[in-house]
Amino acid sequence: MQELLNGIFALSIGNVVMIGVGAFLIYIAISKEYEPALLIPIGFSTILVNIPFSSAIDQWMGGVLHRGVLSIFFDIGIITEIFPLLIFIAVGAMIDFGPLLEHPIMFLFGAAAQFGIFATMVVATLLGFDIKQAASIGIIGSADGPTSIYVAGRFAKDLLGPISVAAYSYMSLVPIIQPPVIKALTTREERRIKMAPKSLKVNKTARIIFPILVTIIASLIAPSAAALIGFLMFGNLLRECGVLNSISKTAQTELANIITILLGLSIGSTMTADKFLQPRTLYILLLGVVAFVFDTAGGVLFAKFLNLFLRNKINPMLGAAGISAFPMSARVIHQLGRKEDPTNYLLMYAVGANVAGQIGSVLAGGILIALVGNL
Amino acid sequence: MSNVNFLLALKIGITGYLALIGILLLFYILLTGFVKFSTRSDSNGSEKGKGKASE
Repeated sequence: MQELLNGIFALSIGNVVMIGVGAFLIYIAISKEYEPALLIPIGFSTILVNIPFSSAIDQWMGGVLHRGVLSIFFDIGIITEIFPLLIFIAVGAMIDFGPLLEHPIMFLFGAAAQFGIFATMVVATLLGFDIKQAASIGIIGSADGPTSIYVAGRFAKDLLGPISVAAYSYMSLVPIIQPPVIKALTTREERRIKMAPKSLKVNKTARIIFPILVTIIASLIAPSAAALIGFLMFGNLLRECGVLNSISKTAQTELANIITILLGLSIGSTMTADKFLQPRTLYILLLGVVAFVFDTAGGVLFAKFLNLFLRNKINPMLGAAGISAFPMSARVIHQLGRKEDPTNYLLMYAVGANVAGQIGSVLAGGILIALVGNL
Repeated sequence: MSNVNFLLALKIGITGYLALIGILLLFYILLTGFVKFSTRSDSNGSEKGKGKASE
C-alpha cells in the first residue's frame, strides 16, 4: 500500500507549481492559439516530468538508472541536434522565396532585424549569465524556434526549457510587441510611404538554383552554419525542383507534425521544478521580450538609415518584417501599412523581408556558434 | 568576471552583427545580378521563340 502512495507523499510545492505551468501552457495554446503545435506537447510533457518518480524521465532507483522515454527523446533528438535540423527541412519546404527573389533589397532587413540577438546577449551578461548562456538567451531574438533550440542545445542545455518557451511564446506575441515599437520609431509620413508593385517574375531555374547557391556561399563563409542553412535549403529545393512534389508535401505535413510533437515533448522533459523555478527563468522570459523589441528597432532604424541614401524611399516598417517570425510579422506590417493608408499594399515586400529573416536568423545562429563555440 | 563577460559579449555582438550584415549584403549583390541575368536570359529565350514562331 505504501508503494502506491509514494508519488503523492513526494509531491513538492515545486512540482505542483510546475504542473500549473504545464497546464497554463496548454491553456494559452488552446484558448489564445499561441503556437499550439509546440506549447501543447511542451505543457503536457512538463506535467508528466513533474510527477514524482515519473517513469517518463530518467530515475535513479536503488543505484540503478531507469531510463525514461522523454529523456531518451531528448538525448537522440536534441543532444544530437537531429530534431531541429529535421524541422528545418520542413520549414524550407514550406517557404516560398519568390517574394525575396523579386525584391532582393529585402535581404538587408533579414540581417538588420537580427540586432536583438546580439544586443540581448550583451544585456544578458550584465545580469550575470556567462557568455555561452548569454548567447543562448540572445538567440531567442532570432524569432526562430529550431534555431533557438539548436544553439541553446549546444551551449546551455539546462536553459533549453525557458528559452524554447520564450522563443515560441513571443513569436505568437509579435502582433502585440512590434506595433508600439514601430510607431515609436517612425513618423506617420514614413509609415505611409508607398512601395511600387514589381512586375518582375522570377523563373523556375532561378528558384531551383537559389537554395543551392545560398547553401554553398553561406557554408563557405560560415561553415558552422552549414548544417542549419543546408537543411533549410534542402527542404526548399524539394519544394522548388518540381519532381518531388509528394516528398515536399510530406516534409511540409507529416514530417513537420511528427518532429514537432517529439521536439515539444523533449523540451518539456527539461522543465523540472529544480531547473525551471529559478530567478534566471524570469530573467530569460524578460530578455526574450527585450530581444524582440531590439530586433524590431534594429530593422526599422536600418531602413531609415538606408533611406538617407535612396532616391526611392523604403517604408521603414518593412525593416521590422526582417525578423524570422513567418508569416506573422509580414502580416502585421502589411496591416499596419493598410491602417495608415488603405491603398498601400506592403505584403509582398514584407514577406520578402520575412523570409530573408529566416535565412538571417539561421546565419546568425551559425555565426554565434562560430564565435562563441571555441571559448 | 561579469565585466569580462560583458566586454567579450560586446566584442562578439559587434563582430557578429557586422558579419551578418556583410554576408547578407553579399547575398543582395549576388542575388540582384543573378535575378537580372536569369530574367534577361528568360526574355531573350521567349523573344527567340517568338521569332521562330513568326518564321
